[in-house]
Amino acid sequence: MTVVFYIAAAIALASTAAVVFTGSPVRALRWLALSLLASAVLAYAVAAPLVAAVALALHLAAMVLAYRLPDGWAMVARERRWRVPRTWVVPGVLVTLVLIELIYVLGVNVGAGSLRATVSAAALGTALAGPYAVTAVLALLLAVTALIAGLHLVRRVPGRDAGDG
Amino acid sequence: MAEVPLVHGLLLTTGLFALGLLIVLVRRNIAFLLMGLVAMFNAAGLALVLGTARWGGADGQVLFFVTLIVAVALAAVGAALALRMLRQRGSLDAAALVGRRR
Repeated sequence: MTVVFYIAAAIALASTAAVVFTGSPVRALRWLALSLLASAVLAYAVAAPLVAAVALALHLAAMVLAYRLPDGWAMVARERRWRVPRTWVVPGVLVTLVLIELIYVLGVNVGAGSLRATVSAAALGTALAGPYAVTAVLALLLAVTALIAGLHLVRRVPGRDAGDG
Repeated sequence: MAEVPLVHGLLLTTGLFALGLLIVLVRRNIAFLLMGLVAMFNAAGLALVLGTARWGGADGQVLFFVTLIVAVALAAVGAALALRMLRQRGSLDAAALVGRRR
């Protein structure tokens, strides 16, 4: 677990640093995705299984969505060179490393090692439904509201947006 | 197996947060600002998880859950605003919003 922690930490730091120095937003998003995945694996290694799984799923969904935005990233990118294999090598290797770590962590008894306490999914669920019920509901309401607001914002207005996009 | 000291975890989260802040400060592209904000949220959540792992209890993980959802809300609204800006102004330059040219 200790090794998993340090490798994931190094990958997270390196890929976040890569976001700073990358020119294209598409490439930067890829680095950011790698950083988020690495930190989710890290959370998994440090005995937060349920939360880490939720984070993994959410980040993956968000990244897929970000790449699928109708015209956004295609226009932002304006570059075709990012399909060149060379630019995929380093992120590819690091992603493979993270994947191996994830499989390893999933196989090993969760939270054995590293920091001490493991919080079970049941305990977290009880906390979310019991003392923190209002917090959880408010957070989810916030998420739904934000999604609705986002949908309204990206909707095309016929008169104003004619001819672009 | 030897344990990971909490200090190392906190150093890592500090580093991640600093890098996110650096992204926000250095880049002018709104897409990068969003990514920096998400990175900062992620670092803060990681600190919460580390605290949970050190002292037990589900409270920190509940907070991480909330952090995660707030980050998602931020990313959704931010991306939508960025897309709207891209459509109306044709650029994602944050400085252009306040009237500075190049």
